[in-house]
Amino acid sequence: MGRPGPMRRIDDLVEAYYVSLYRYAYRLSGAAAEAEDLTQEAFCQAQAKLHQLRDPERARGWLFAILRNAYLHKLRDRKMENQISLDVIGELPERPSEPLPDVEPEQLQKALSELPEAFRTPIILFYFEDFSYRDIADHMEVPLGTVMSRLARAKSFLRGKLLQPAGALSAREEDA
Amino acid sequence: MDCTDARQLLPFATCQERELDGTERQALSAHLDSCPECAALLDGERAADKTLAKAMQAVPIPLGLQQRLMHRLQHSRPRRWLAKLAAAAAVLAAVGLGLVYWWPVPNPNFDIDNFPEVVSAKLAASAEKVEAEFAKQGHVIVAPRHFNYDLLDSFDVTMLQDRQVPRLVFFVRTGEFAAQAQVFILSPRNFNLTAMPQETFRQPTSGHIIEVLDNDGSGYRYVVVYTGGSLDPFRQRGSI
Repeated sequence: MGRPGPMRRIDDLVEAYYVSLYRYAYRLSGAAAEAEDLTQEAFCQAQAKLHQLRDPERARGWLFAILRNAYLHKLRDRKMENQISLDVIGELPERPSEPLPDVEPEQLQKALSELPEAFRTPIILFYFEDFSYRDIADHMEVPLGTVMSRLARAKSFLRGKLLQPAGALSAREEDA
Repeated sequence: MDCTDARQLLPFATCQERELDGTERQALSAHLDSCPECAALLDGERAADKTLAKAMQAVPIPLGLQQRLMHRLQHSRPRRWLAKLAAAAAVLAAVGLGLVYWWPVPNPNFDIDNFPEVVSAKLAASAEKVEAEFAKQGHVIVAPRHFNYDLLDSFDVTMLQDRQVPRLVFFVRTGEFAAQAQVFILSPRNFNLTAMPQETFRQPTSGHIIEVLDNDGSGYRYVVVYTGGSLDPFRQRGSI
């Protein structure tokens, strides 16, 4: 049996990663249709650049990077400015926080959508796909310390939002 | 280990314990055994992480997603047999009619052995020296006289609108202030510059300012893209 051709390899990549890539796309974009478009775009680009993937062990990180870049490209094109300022996102408190109740995924997505992408990506990757801090730093091309800081601040922000009673004003509404 | 050090390691001890080396893990564990406050912080973090992870991963996967992805990938890839048929037909047409047919050229290999020499900007601390350095590479230019060449950071040739364009990069740092100016040297041999207005505007996305400068009598134009709000920090003393 000969070495698998390129088409079989893209088959393998789709089968292995389409679920995690779609989940990532969904949490980034907040919408099922856009998530599917982003996932499709990522695999199309991967198919075109398959020769660049020399180490199959790095396939996941590579695919996630392609998807994230596609998402950032869309953001730039649409000049989306519906996120809150980075300054609003504070540091992790030094004492134990109130325990979080079970979180509805839709409630989480609403809170996530308020985070700037620079904070949203690390927290999404942290909570699934077993990305290490180093993996996240490499993915975003930022120092490890920056990842740690953004993660801590994003967690603190999410916790604050998710502990609010249902129907509470968002940060933007309060500022109005 | 004290509480300050322990709390710096807590993020690594929530669900990513493998990120701590053996020594750190042991030291942290010993501290947590004797510090109820830090232990409670870690428990709280782990509980919150568990809750958030569960919600984060609860994304419904659309039915048929994998099939749709594969279907579109298969149809976005050119069929080999169709490409061969098209190639054969093209050769026949060229031979039969005696025409030259344009054949797609594959991308060239990158030739690292012929990578152009990077010239230190310190060798070219004046407009005249910059002109001499560019002339060595076959580019005859008139460098702008307005700028302070002590601030020259680098220079090269870049592609702009399908033409090779010499570029100078100036960098200034004074205390907290830092700014950069890229000067693209447009030659009348490569561009029709007669109708090019001298104007200044701000790029909407990056916020960089673009200013078109003139060099009286030479026909050259200089397109300057800069940060810092003003070209004054980059100017030669006494220039306008």
